[in-house]
Parts: sequence; structure tokens; C-alpha cells
Amino acid sequence: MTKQIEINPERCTACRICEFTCSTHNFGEINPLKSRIKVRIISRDFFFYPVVCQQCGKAPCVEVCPKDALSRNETTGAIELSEDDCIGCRLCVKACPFGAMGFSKETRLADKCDLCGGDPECVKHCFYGALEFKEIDKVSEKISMEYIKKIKDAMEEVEI
Amino acid sequence: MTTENFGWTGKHIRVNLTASTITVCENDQRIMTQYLGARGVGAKYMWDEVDPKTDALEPNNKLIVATGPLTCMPPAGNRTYFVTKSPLTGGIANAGVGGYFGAELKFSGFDFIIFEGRAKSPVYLWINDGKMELRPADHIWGKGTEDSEEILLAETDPMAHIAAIGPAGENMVRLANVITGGVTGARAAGRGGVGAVMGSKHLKAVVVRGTGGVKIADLKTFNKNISKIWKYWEDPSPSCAQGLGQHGTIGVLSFTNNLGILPTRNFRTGVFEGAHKISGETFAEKYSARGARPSKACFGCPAGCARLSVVNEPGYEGKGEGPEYESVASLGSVTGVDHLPAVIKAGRICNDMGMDTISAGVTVGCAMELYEIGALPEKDIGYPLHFGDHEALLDLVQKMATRDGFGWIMGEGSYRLGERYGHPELSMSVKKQELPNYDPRGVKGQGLAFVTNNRGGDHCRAEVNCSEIYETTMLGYWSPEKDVDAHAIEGKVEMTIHYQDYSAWAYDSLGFCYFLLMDTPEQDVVDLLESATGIKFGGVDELNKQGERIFTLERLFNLRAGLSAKDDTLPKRFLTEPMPDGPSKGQVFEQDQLLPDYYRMRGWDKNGIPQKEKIDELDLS
Repeated sequence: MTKQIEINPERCTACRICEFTCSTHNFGEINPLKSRIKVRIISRDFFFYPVVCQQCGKAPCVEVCPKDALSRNETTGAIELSEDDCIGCRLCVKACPFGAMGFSKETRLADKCDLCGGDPECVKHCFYGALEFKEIDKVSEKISMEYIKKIKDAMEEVEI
Repeated sequence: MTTENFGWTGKHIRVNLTASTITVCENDQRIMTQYLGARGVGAKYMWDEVDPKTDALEPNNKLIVATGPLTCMPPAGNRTYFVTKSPLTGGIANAGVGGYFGAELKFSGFDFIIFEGRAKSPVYLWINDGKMELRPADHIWGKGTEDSEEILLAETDPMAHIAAIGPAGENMVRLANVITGGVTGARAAGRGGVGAVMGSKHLKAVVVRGTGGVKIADLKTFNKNISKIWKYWEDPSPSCAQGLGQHGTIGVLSFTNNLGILPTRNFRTGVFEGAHKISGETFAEKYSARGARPSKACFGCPAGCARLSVVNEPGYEGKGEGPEYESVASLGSVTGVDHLPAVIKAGRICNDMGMDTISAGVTVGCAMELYEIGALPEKDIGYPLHFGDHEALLDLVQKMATRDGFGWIMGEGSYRLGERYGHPELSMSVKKQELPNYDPRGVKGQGLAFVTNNRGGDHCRAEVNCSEIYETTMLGYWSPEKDVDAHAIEGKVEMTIHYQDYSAWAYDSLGFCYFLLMDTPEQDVVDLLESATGIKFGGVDELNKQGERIFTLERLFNLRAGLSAKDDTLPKRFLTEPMPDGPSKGQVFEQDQLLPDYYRMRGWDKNGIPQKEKIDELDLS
């Protein structure tokens, strides 16, 4: 299984239920700062984007970690953090191109999304379809199907 | 008292603007349990600390900005209330707002803020978690809410949330509101002129950044309770619930027009021939950023009723949040304007200036009628002012906010405008606050709520129309098997009282948005509250009693402020002029039959004064 969280920003309403769900599930309190998924907003443009770890194939956080504290869980596909090995140097925080790597003020260690062990809670509670948990193949399948439908319509229009 | 706080954060802030002092206080748990939060706690502190006869715009008035125990919790706990003495009605004001401000205040560690006195020069309050300071605001005084917010975010924290007033509040326009989210999509604490009170205190804005958490007493049960309410939402009765996601509140405009209760040309009739031009369907097709899909939601809400509009027509171009149904009807059908880009722009001006769209639109409608009957001379305005003139609408809302020329008297609201020109009865208001957009001749329970709601002409403090027209199962009056006749008066007194008491606790004091409660049984709200706070409240009846206590306390405040039974009345238009056309044709509002019953069932005397037994029963003596 190679599933990942797919983000559809055009559907996100910035309701932040994902932040509520993540922080209560993982930390037992409502705390958007601790949430491993965070809705970022570009003001005036009304652009909302839930930022969350993409579990990259060639993950900069894994590559930069001096203590090998980050590794892939082959069952879930998630890159997981070993708190025993992490020293809290924050190199991974800087390395992540999305700003998705978290850092705990309490433990002074890195903190990241582990896909809730393979069944992410945030996705289950996204009412708007802004978050989907999908097989990677399905993502490209959806895009290509939409693409060929457009070609078909265009061809019908010019009656080829 | 428990040492750990659930639901509530357990603390509040007292800010004395005259002395520039900020004090952190522990909540009095007895008050929190009895009055819950938000509107209830605001009413309690106003009663205890403010002489109701105080001039609303003098330093002795206080402003309480309060959240509820469920603010920052799904589904739709996101409300903040601005409670004060209203410069518009002279009674109590409690303006509620969604968005993210309230949640952020809780994350900063506080349930509410009490503002006292008046700053020497403009200031804003910056709450950065536990650190607080009053900062000078001279550089943003005079600026609109959008620009103010952008500047404040830049000089505090880009992740902060802001409640600010615009020029209308600064100029103490009696229709001024407080805007949250000026640049991320404006939401308004709209009614009662609460923005003018902020302006009178020289308080430009409250900026909050909170990085703490809020704890829930029994998370597992709480989550189960949320899922239950979510289910009602996903599988609603054939109500406007589904429509809210699709079209937002503007979607109901066609509906109220079809029922013949869409206020048109200063409430002369309930059918607007131009309704299709300003309807939710037209909006979705032409101006909605995402068409007929949710564009934005308040904190934790699965409904997403907010719309984002994009207008490209030259002269009206711009982006903004809204418009809501109430704004489109007040600025549109009430003024006879069917030019949607102009209505949207008028709404944007109101948001940026910090002015209530309902009161602003209805005041313009009143001016138009005064002009058309010859009571308001053209020379006072500077041009002819006919119904349907959208350029005049845009001119007047701007002038009203800045108190420019003729706009000065309009900024006093429709009642004082009508009084000035000899026709106060043409002000479509109760207790001098402009009516929202349901013609009471066609919805009798809602009409009774307009008459008796403590903050004056208002629909939110008792949404009786959820049973009367919207076919929701709220409070169990309507069901697929049992229709409610909107024109009938039978049973409406009991229904209105039930709605008033319920709204006083279940949404206004818990910090909930009532949209999510339209198909939720009362007991489920009790369960949610108890699992969040860990406190047993006893059940639905006990909480409705707490709602009655809050409602009655506000009534007592109003009576002491000088309001009386004579203020419990709709304008005579609704009592004597039958609805001229449409499905509600021939209807009048039977106030003489409804109001005495209402007083009696409330346990008040014939002058609308709560009797001693009632006061004792509610533990208010």
C-alpha cells in the first residue's frame, strides 16, 4: 500500500477541523499549534491550504537528520520520528520545503505526521473533500482521466 | 472548584483604558456555571457593574468581549459576543460573530475581556499569549478595517486574529459594528452599535495570538457527541441546511420572496420584482468565487456558509467576503435596488467602514420613503432619492459611515432620521434597531420575537422561522408529518419564548452557531456541553431555565435603562397596513393578541415587568 494525503486547496474552507482533530487525537487537547496539519492562509486572496507532511520519496528531513532519527515505516509509508534518537537540532524543520515539520515547545524535539498509523484522522473528518487519502496511482489516474475527457470534448467540438 | 479547567480557560482580562491597566483575573466559577459564557456572562457583568442609565458612549459604559465554553470546538463553536449598553437602542446590546477570533482568544488563555473607561488617545490591545499591552493606534485611526488589519498583522504576528472598528465606529455612528478578519474575510459583530462603543473608548482593535490549548473533560464522549451532531448535519431534514452549503445564506432570498416576506421598498411589500437579479442563484453564477460550493468556514464548522465574491464590473470591482442574505436584502430589496454588483459593493463598504449592513440598508430605505412622500427635501440630500437608485445607495452608505453632510443624521439610524423629518413611524425598527429581513406580517412567531427580543429588532436571539418557514426540526415544532403555519398566531407565544430561552444558552452563551443546531435535538447540546466541561447541568429543562434567567436579566437591565412596554412594538405599518400582495397578501401582525399572552406566559405583569415570584424563581433577587 502506498497511500498519501492528497490536498485539494480549491475545496479547503479554512474550517480547521483538521487542526482540531489532529491535536485532540495526538495530544488530547484542542491546540492548533500542536496540530501536525496546519491551514495556511494567503490574506486578501482567500487562498487556503492545509499544509501537512507529504511523506516524500526522497525526503529532505531524512537526508539532513544527523542522528538517523527519521525513517520510513514500510507498512504505512509514513516517515516516522524516533524520539529516542532525535536531539531536537531542528535541521529537519529548516530542510522541509513545505514547512510541514513540526517542533514541540514542550519536548524540544521534532514532531511530525505519522499518518495516524495508516488511517489519518484529519482526512476522515474533512467535510469539504480538501483532504483525501489515496493510493498514489489513483492520483495520476484521476488527473489523466480528467485530461483525456477534455481531449475527447475538444475533438467532438471540431468533429474529427 | 476544579483546579483544571475544561471548556473554559478559567481566566479573563480586565482592561481599564482610562488608567491604562491590564489585570488578569480568575473566573468566578459560580458565575460561569450559572451564566455559561458569551452573552450570558456579558449580561451578568453588565448588570453587576454598569448603571443601566449610563450614556452608552460615556466612559462609564463597559464593553465585554466574551467567548463561550464551546468556542473553539467543532461543530461550529466559534462565536464571540460583544456585550455593552447600546447607543442605538439604549438597552443591552450583544453582537455575536463567528470566524476565528474567539478561538484564538481561548488559545491565548482567556475566556473574556472587560473593557472599562476611555483611553486618552487611540489604542489597541495586543494579547500575545499571556503577554498583554496597550499600544498606540493613532497611525490606523481613520483607516478602514481591511487596511487596519493588514498593518496590525504586520506589526504584531501574521498568525494573529483581530477584531477592529472602522471609521464608522470611530465617528460613533450608532450603526457601527466590529469586524473580525478584515483581510481574511470579514465577519461582523453587527448589531446594536457595539462599534460605536469601542470608538467612544478610543479602542481601535483587539489583536490576539494564542498558542496554548483548551482541554475537554471527556474527549472520547465529546467526540461521539460531535459525530452525532455532524450526522444531523449531513442528513438534514428538507431544510435550508443543505442550501447553506450550496448557496450560503444568500440562497434563501428566492425562498423568502416566494413566501412574500422579502422586505421590499422599506417594507411596503414582501414581494420584490427584482429578486431574481439579486438571488443566491444569480450570485453563484456570476460573482461567487467558487460558484455554488462552500468558500469559507468559521472555526470548526462543516457548513461553510460564507461566500467569497469577486466582482469585475468597472466601478464595482473588488473581492470580499459575503454578501449574506441579510445584507443583500437590506441593501437590495429594502432600498428597491436590484443591481447586484452595487449591492455587493455597498456591503464591502459597510465591512470596511465597520457598519452594520442591516441597519445601514434599512436606514437608506427609510430615507428613500421619506423622500418619496415629500417629507425629506431634495436640498438636504443634494439629489432626488428614489427607491432603486443604486448610485445613491453607494453614496449614502459611505457618507453615513463618515458622518459626511446628510450622512450625519443617517448615521444616527432610521428612527432618529424619521423623527427629524416628522415620521418616526417610517423607521422599520423595534427599540430603534432596524428590522432584519422577514416581514413579520408573514411570519408571526418571528414577528413576536422582533417585538420582544431584548436587543431590539433582531432575528438571531430567537430564530422562530426555523420552525415557521425553514422546515427544520429545531425544538421539535416542525416535522415532516406536522407543518407549522407561518401566518397563524396559535401556539406562537409559547414557541417564541422557547426559542428565546433556548438561544440564550444553547448558542449565544455556549458560543455556538445556531445553523448547526437546526436539526439537533436539545438533549444532544446538553450532552456536548457536559462532556466538554465535565459539569452536570441537570438536563434540557434546567438549561432552558438558565436561558430564561439570562433573558430576564437583560429585560431587567432594559427596564432600568428606561425602556418599557411602549417599546415592545412593531412599527404601525405591520399592525394596520395589510400586506398588499403576494402569498402573504391581506396579513397584518396581530400584536394586540400576541403581546398580552406573551407577558403573561413570561410571568410578567401587563406592563411587561417581571414579577417578584419570577425573579425569585430565577434566583435574580
